[in-house]
Order: sequence, then structure tokens, then C-alpha cells
Amino acid sequence: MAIINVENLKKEYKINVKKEGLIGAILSLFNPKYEIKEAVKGVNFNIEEGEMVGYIGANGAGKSTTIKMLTGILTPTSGKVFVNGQEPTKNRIKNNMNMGAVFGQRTQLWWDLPVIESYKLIKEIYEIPDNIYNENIKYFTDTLNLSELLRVPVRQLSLGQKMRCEIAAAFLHSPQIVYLDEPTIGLDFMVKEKIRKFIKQLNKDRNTTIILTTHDLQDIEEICNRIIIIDKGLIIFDGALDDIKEEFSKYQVTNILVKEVTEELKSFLNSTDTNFEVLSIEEEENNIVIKFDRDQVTIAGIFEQIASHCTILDLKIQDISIDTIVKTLYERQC
Amino acid sequence: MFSKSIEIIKINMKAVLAYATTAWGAFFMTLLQIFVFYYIWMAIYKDDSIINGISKEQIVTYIILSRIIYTQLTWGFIPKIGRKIQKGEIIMDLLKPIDFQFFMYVGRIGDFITFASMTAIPVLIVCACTLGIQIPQNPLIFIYFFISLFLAMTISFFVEFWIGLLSFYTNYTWGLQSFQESLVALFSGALIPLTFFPHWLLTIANLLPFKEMSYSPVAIYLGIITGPQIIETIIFQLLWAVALLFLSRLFYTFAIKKITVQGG
Amino acid sequence: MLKKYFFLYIDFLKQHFKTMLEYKTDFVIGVFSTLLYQFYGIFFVWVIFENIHQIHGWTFYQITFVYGLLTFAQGLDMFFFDNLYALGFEYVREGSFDIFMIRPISPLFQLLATHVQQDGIGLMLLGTIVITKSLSELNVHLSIMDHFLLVILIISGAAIISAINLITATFGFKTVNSHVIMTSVSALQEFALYPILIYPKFIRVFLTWVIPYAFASFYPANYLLHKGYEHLSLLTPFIAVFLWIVALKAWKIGLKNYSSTGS
Repeated sequence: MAIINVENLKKEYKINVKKEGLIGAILSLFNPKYEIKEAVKGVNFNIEEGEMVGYIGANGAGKSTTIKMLTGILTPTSGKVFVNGQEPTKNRIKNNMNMGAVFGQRTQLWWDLPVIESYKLIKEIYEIPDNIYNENIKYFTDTLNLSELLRVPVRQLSLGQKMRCEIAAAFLHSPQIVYLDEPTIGLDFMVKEKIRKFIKQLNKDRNTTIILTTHDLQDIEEICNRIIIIDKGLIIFDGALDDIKEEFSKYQVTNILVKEVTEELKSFLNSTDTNFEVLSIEEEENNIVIKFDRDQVTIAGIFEQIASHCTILDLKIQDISIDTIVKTLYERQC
Repeated sequence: MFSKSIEIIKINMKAVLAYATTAWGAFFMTLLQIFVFYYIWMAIYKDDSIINGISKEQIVTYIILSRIIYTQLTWGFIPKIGRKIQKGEIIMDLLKPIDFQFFMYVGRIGDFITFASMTAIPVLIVCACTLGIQIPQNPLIFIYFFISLFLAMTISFFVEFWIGLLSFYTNYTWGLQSFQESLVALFSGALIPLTFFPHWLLTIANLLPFKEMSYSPVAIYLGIITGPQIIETIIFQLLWAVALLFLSRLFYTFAIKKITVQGG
Repeated sequence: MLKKYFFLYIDFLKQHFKTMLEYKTDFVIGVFSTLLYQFYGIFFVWVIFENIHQIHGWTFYQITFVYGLLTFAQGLDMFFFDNLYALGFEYVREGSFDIFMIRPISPLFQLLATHVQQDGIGLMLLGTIVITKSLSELNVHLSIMDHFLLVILIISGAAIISAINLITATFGFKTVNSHVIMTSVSALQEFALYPILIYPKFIRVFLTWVIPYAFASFYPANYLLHKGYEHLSLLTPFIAVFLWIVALKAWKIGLKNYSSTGS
């Protein structure tokens, strides 16, 4: 039996449409107009215990809404969601005992208290037995280097330090499922590595199910074995990470800075017989963004082709972003 | 300079307009407090028509005007300054090509104008219809009243500014606000005309600037202060304003030095 | 379950007291300013009574007794329930209310336990001083039973105030400005600072049967000073319980709504 089971899950919001200006604001008070926004349009998936799933999509695609429904914060408009056999919104308190979460910028530690005091309160709230609590504290302190931080009030911690404490807090009661929403945002490389290692180890030792939403591809690479991609409220990909990696690793994106975007250059870029794809031409910045398949053409090959139509000033290569992957997948669907 | 002032006033007014609910809250609260005190005073006066030289009708107008002024005097200007100091936003304001204190002052005027239109006038209308307000016979009194009121607000500003600067020494700006509010409540005549005070208390009240923030303009309006005394009162207010300007300026310069040394 | 909440709350309180001790200046300023501020009513009555001797049959110390009772009840409410004001503009708007919802304990409990308002101590202090002084000047001798009743009545008074606050606080789920609604309603307590006999009938009825703040001050005072309304005063604890049942229901509905409309 899957630990998380989602069937045709839908969520709609009523948004208050406000009019412009002062007159508009007053009118809105008396005659409020609503628009229906469909955030999640019918989502299906099953997650087995112990899986490490990356749940990704562009901003506004419906990620947070789904997570909120899984964690019991939001009631679905229709459809079914079961976590450990329970409906999250109907059995919130019972469901929450077995669940931990890190919500990006929002802290679940108490601002004025030293970290260890927050942990003690969490111990009480989750009714963690002494032996498990002590064991976890020791293990987390060692692995995440928390010993110097325990007596410090949370508000005095740097972002990286806070995040390490936050992650520990989420796993403190040895939950079966942990939701991580942008856990590594704004952190430096060393801290990210530490956190990723920590999560992987816990999954290995305890079979903790991990649901990760992030914009950081490295996070996904290192932690997840399965990816679910949501776009505009619908799932457009659900499969092994390796599959998508293989598929997209051959793609790269390059930013080419030219002296001037001439008409000649533009007509060349827009012609159909190029072996690369132009993502955008930023005329004012004299920047061209190109996506290419490494199996079909090398960066040197692209350089050569473009150089014959203009003067190239600079060139930058980066891995393909999640947004571009999502866009490509979506275009494929159509 | 003038156009800059108008701009600042406009910005503050827009900001206040955006908080229509706050204006409603202030309207409701002021009205409510007027009614509470109205009933208390009616119970006090009961069958008497004059106590301590103030008639029943006068006391009604007194409560209405004093309470409206009190709401404006305790609008929460001190935490505004306090927040700027604590969040370091004050650095941004100091970088502007306009004097910080003047900038705050003009903003305060803007607040006052918005308050007058969104809260004071509605309250006055409701009270005039339900409780009755006295209007001075002599139109000159109106002019004196508004001059006195303007000075009253200015004096209040300097005191608020001064107390606001104390936010350097404490995190607790709300405590400072409460402190100012209590002094205003006790000594400005917001609750009781100073003519009711026992002699020794009156002496203390006369030494403080608080009575100039509310009692003076209202007393002029009601004719409690008449004739040449009106001019005397206004001049006295002016003196207080100048003295407080000087004092607050002194403290301000000292405080700025402290900020720039600490680096915010 | 109740045991768990009780001990948990004690632990939260311990933390709050630690913080208060750490920021002694802020604590003193806060308590003192609150006390001084609330003193205005006593000051007002005192100056008035330099000129008259009774209002509607109530003498100076009888009036201050009413004032003291409400002040103390307000202090109790402020200390434990002040965080309700922050629901709209802080917890819901900034999304931190969601953190409450993912924990296996009541979100209302968490909202209240996370913050206590130390200034409430100022009100309780003033209230105590005024109550004690008034009772001694009035030469009222309270039996042990009366003392016990005094405590019950004060706690009930605080419960009435906080129940009404909870009802208005549920607006926090719908608007960022819930604190304005809350303040407007709790401002009606001003009326209850003084014996309500001075008000016209509709206000007396309103404060007794619609928003029963009079049960937090006037009626208990009547009972303890033997000035009448004795039977009505004994209703106080029952009104408190009733209001709390209504308030908790309102909270439950508000929470359910929040779950279905969030964004």
C-alpha cells in the first residue's frame, strides 16, 4: 500500500478581483467580484514508503498547493488524498504526528529561544520518547555540526545555521514522511552538501519518505530518485530521475553577448535550418540565449556559425534550467 | 521647499487613505469614548447647570473637541519614529536632501489633515446631530482657535519626536508611546477641564507643555479663555513651541551623532 | 490530552519568563507605562470627586472598585490572550499560521502559547492596588467564601473579555486588519469601567445581554458591595462558560474556512 495516495486531486481558489485606484477600491468593498483560479486541475500519483521524490514545477504551477493538501493545511476542492491511510484534513492532529516539514523561509523554531529549547518544546509536542530524542539530538548535532548553535537564540543565527537547525527539527521526532520546501535556498555550497548528505543518510537508515520541492537541480540530482513535474496544475512527467537526466543532460544553454543584434543576425537565427534552438533574442542587451543538443552540435560549432554573422563579445554556458525542461516537456505534450 | 512639502503631505495622505479600516477604527473609537464621557459628565452634572464655571452645554462641546484632539495626539507617531530607528531605516531618511525632523513634521501635518477629513469631521457631524455642539458667536474666535490648534499640534510633534528619539535606549517603543499617552491623558485637559483641578495639580499642569496641546485651543473655542487672555495663551504656546524646537533640535543633533557613530 | 497541554503551556510560560528577566528595562517600562496609562480613569474620577460626592448613589471608592475589577480582568486577558490580535496581520498574512497547522496540537493553543503580553502585569498590578485600597476604605469585610467568590468573578470577567476577543479574532482568517475589528469591540469595555447606571437603558441592556462586559465589573461589584443585582451577578461564571463555547465554535468554523480558501 502506498504511503501517499493521490487521486484526481483538484483545488480551486476564489480570488477577489480588485479594481484600480481609489474609486476602484471603494467599489470593490461594496461589490466584490471573484475570479475562479484552478491551481490544481486533477493530479494523480502514488508514493511508496522510502521513496525520495522531487516535486518540481515553475512558480505558480501548483506545487505548494499540492503540498499544502498533503500536509492537511488546505482542503481539496475534489478528489482523494490519503497519507498513511488517513485523509490529512480530517485527521490533522493524528496525521501530523508522523510528519515533518521544512517550509523554506518560514521557521518552525521559536524566534527568541535558544535552539535546544525549541527542540525540547518539539519533544513535548510530538511526545518523543526520551531515548529517541537523545539519540536523535546526538546524531543530528554530530552530522550537522550543531553543537555550538544549540544555546544560541534562533534570531541570532545566520541563514545557513538556521537551516541546519530547521532540518534537524523536522526529523527530530523520526517522522515517516518529511516535506522539504526549498530547503537549500540561499545557502552556500558547503551547507547545501551537508544538508543533502544528511537527508540521504536518514532515508537510507530509516526509510523516511522524502518529498522535495526545489528549484535547485543539484538538490534533485543528489537526493531524488523520482521526479514529478507539475505545470499549470497538471502533472506532465512522473518517472525516474535517471530517465530525465539522460534525456536532458545532453541539452545545454548558452548566453552569447554580441556587439550588435543586426537584421542579418536575426534572420539567420530565425531561419529553420539551424541545428540549435533560439530561446530568446534580447536586442537591448545584445544577448542571445540558445539551447542546443550536445549530441548534435558542439559549442564550438555554434560559435563558428554565429561568428560569421556578427562579432561575439562573450559567451556563457550553463546547464538547462528546470523552467526550460518544464517548458520543453509541456511543448512535447501538445 | 514648499512643493517638496506638498509632495510629502500627499504621500502621507495616500498612505493613510490606503488604510481605510484604520480610519474607520479611529472614527468608531473616538465616538465611543466621547459617548462614555458624555454620560459620565451628564451624571456628574445631573441637576446642576454650572460647575466650576463651565456650563452643561459647554462641557459637552469640551468633551467632543478634546476627545478628537486626544485621538490625534495619541495617533501612534512615536512607534513610527521608533521603528525607523530600530530598523535602521532612519539612515535612508538622513540621506535625503531634506532635514529629517522637518520631513517628519510635514508628514505629521499630512497625517493631521487626513485625520481631520476622515475621522474628525465625521465624528463632529455625528456628535453635532446627537449631542449638540456649541458654536462661538464671534467668527474671530474660530481664527484664534485654528491658530491655537496648529500650535498645539506643533508642540505635540516636538514632544513626540523627542520621546521617539528615546528609542535609542530601549527596544520598547510601544512603552514609550504608552508613557506619552498617559502624560497627555492626565495633563492635557483631555479628560477634564483644568478648571476642575485642585490648585497644586494646576500648578504642575501649568509647568508642562501638555495643556498647550489640547486645553488651550479648546478653552479659546469655548470662551473659557476670553479677551486679551486669548492672545496671551497663543503667545505662550508660541514660546513653548520655540523652546521645544530648540530642545528637540539639541537632542536630535546629539542623537544623529550617535547614529552615525554606531552606523545604524 | 489535557495534561499534555497543561504541562506544555507551563513550559512555554517558563520560556517567556526567562525572556522577561533578560530584558528587564523593557519589562519595567512596559509594565509601568501600562499602569500609568490605565491610571487616567482613577485620576479622572478623583478630580471629579473633588467637586461632588456621589454619582447615582455610588461613592468614590465604590466607583474605583468597579474600575479596579475590570482593570484586573483586562490585565489577565491581556497577559494570556494578547496574541489573538496578531492572527490577521502576522500569522495568516505571513504564512506562519501554516506552521501551526502541521503540528499535532491545536493551532489555537499554539497561537496563545507562543506569546504572552507582559504589559498585562501592569494592569493586574493597578487592578490589585485599586481593589485592595477600595475595599479597605469601604470597610468591607469579606468572608473566606467572599474572597473565593471574588477570585471566581474576576477570572470569569477575564474569561468573558477573552471569549469576545476570540470571537472577533476569527476575522483574522479573512482580513489582515482583524486587529482593528478586535480593538473596536473591546473598546466598548470603556463603558464598563464605570457603574453602568449612568448610561441610558439601551447601553445598559447592550452591556448586559449583548456584549456582556458589565459582568466583568459592575455586577460582581454589586454583589460584593451588596448594592443589588445579587442574583444577576451570580450568572457571571455561566455567561463566561457560554461565551467560550460560542467562541470555540467560531474559531473552529474560521479554521475550517481558512483550510478551504487559503492561497
